[in-house]
Amino acid sequence: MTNAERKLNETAYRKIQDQLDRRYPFKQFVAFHNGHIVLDSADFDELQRGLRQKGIDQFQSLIVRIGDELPEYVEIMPLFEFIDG
Amino acid sequence: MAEQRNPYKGKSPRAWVELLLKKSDAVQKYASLIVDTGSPMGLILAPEIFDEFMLEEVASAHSNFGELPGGFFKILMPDTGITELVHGYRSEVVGKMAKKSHPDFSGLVGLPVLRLGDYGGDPSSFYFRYPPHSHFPQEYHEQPQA
Repeated sequence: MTNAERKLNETAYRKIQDQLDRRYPFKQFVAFHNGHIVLDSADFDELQRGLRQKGIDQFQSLIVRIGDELPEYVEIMPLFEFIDG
Repeated sequence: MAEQRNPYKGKSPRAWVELLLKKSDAVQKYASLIVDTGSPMGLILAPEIFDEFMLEEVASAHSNFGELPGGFFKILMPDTGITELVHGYRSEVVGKMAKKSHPDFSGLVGLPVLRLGDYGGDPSSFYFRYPPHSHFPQEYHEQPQA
């Protein structure tokens, strides 16, 4: 996915993030492509097959699993480099 | 309850686990990952590992090292029988830092993966046990209350 495509899908996702919990069952997989929801499934493998059948490869969609809490910002081991020299 | 136990290793001794990353029956590889119980990210992987084993993209995350592309990864730990689909993130900096600590390391494993089981350590080693002794946290297998 190009950065522009990723941004389009992420923007679409974040715009309706709060609504997704009400629209889809817990742990449902929802796929965004070109800024729209194109598929959803309770089974990840089935979702993948569905996307491939639509001609959408793994780098062209953004997948959300309902109920997952995703970190938006994280500090990664700030002392890592210092400790190991 | 099955267990994976590893002696600490690295320039400064690090706790670590070995996970099998699986993209397909033909494409799978063991990865040794430093344990970071302070990380809210399931996995943070060196680019070459991320690129080879990512199944589908997820929303990226932002960090003190910049934007981290994210994806779903299938992880297995044959020692314990665990198989899960988890979020992983791509970081060249973390990959380099991990390898600097020990050439076997290719990233970090954080709390979302660790809390799938029981984990801990003693003066010589770190362990991960599955299934966990206690119940799964409510948010893992029950729908949130409206």
